[in-house]
Amino acid sequence: MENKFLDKAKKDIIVGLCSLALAVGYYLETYNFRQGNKNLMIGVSFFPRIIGIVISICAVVMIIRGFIRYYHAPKSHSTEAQQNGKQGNKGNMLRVLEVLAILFATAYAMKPLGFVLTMPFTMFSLFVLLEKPEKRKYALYLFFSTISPVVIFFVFYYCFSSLLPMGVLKPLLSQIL
Amino acid sequence: MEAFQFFGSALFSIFLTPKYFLLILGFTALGVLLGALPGISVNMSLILALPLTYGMDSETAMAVLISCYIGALSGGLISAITLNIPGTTSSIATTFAGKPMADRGEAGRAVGIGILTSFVGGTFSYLLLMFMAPLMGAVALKFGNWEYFSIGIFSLTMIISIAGDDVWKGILSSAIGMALAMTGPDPMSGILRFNFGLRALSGGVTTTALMCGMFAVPELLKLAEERDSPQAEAKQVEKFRGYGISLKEYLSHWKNVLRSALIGTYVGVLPGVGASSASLLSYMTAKNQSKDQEKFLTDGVDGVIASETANNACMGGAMIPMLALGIPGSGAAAILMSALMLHNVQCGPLIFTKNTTLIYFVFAVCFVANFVMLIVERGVLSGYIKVLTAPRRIVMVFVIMMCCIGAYSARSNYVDLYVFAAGGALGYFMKKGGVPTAPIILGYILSHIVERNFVHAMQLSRGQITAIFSRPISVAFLILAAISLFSSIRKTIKASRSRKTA
Repeated sequence: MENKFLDKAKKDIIVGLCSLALAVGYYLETYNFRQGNKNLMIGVSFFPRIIGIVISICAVVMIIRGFIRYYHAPKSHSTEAQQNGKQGNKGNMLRVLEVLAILFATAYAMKPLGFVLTMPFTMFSLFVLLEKPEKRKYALYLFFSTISPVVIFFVFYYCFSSLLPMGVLKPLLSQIL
Repeated sequence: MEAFQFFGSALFSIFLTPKYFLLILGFTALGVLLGALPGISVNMSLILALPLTYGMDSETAMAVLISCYIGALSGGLISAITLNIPGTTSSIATTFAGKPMADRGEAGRAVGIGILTSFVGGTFSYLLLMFMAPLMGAVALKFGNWEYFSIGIFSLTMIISIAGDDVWKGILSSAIGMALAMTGPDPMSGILRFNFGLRALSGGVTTTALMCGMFAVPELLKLAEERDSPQAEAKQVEKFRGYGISLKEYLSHWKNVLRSALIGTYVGVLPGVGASSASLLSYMTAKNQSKDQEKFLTDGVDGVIASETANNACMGGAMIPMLALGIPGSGAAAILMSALMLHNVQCGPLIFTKNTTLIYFVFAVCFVANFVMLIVERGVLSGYIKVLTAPRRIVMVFVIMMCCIGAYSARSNYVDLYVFAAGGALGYFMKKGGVPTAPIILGYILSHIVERNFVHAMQLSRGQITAIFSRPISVAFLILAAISLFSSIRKTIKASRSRKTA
């Protein structure tokens, strides 16, 4: 219960600080806008600045609230079980970051490699990362990851007249389509 | 009386011409399928179907597009409940109500109720469309920029209360959504903002990419995080009969159904406000009207009814200004209008006299497609429910693939794939910090309404903000917004005090 209270306080402070940094950056960026027609009653930076101020106010409230909660929370020394939990959390967070890296890599590779070549890697690595090592079925993952992007690519082209990125396979796919 | 004759003959022509009926059946089913896929929005479903209608006559084209529209609008509820990822933006409120039901193993029942109430909401709005289109179109004309601005502000205050006991986190979340919406051209001058010199960002950030990222990626990351815990196993789904609700029980919710259908139709009539605002307003109104708000949140039935009745009722509403005034009430209505224009049919007051047969054919298609949706969606429901019993990690990988397609296809822009991934990371870390993510999307959608109308209104009133007080509808909405905001703040203070005493 005590740690839950402390956790909430820490979360409030972290969210508040991140939001404040975002709001300040956001507000300052409005000074880089090109100024338009002087006859306009509301300038291009009016709304963004208001939003920047609103985010800052929320951030400051959350930081103050977080500190108040933090100093009022009953402190307790961390036990061995809690230390082990923290180790486990680090492992889990690494996996989360790996999944995020895969998604950004997919975004990066889509233009040069195309849908048919990028998706198999994305799907296979996600299948592997999401499953416990002792339960992994590599052959099944390989089958799903290679077949389904190809099927989906042609379904979208022939059924919906929608062309997904072809990338490096453009010369080959253009001949087939 | 004449209206009934035209409507009757249109209905007969649909049932006596196999081509019409089969197209309505096929495209409603296709719409349901597309709407249920996360990342494929209602508008995108229509855009995919639009090229197929180029070679068709106007009646056949409208049968295809309206069926697809009705199917997709309702299909969004399937993934909103089964995967907790809204298939379309209009189903965001359904995720709030559907989650507690899905967690109890009642996902099938929740979808069943959603389908039934979508049918009721749709039918209600089509009846109004048929009999009151010119009258309601005239009411919509009374709404100027100040009124739209006020309704936007009112909707924003309603979103904030989604945050539950912490109003500051709700405001923060919707403000971040509004901040993201500022990317791209300014509504008045067209000057680019927050594009950081990137041409790819000059069109702004799309709702589809952001919504897919915010809802689907955090689910995937949560699975990765909880891989070794037993929570990652598939959910159990209880069996249910019919639509998961008896007629008697459904009728006991009549006040909620009627109120939601009216909100949906009315919001639909207002150009540019959209089904997502309608379903949210309806959901929050139902919550505020509920005698036991705790039960409303944990039970979920009232929430599903409110959200799904309103977003389907919005369709008929959006067609009212489109047909009666030539003003499209939503993006989807704009696509329907352009399809009519391709066939040399001009929307506006004269359409009822110049193209009477076509107009009543459109009404008849709405009713038939709505009925087909009721049957088809229930028919495929068992298949969708099986998705829940499949290992969630496998399902989510396929969902992510569909989301990538949805994010990219919205405007064939590679930057949207980065928006999808970054939106997902933002959504995940916000959830970790206890900040709700749904207000981001709704804040994003509403910010366009608020900013555009405020800027235009200020320009027209030569910078006099007091002009807002000369508009009674506007003042009424602002008072409602103030009440909504203060009640949220009061709730936060109350919750904080009760935590302290505990």
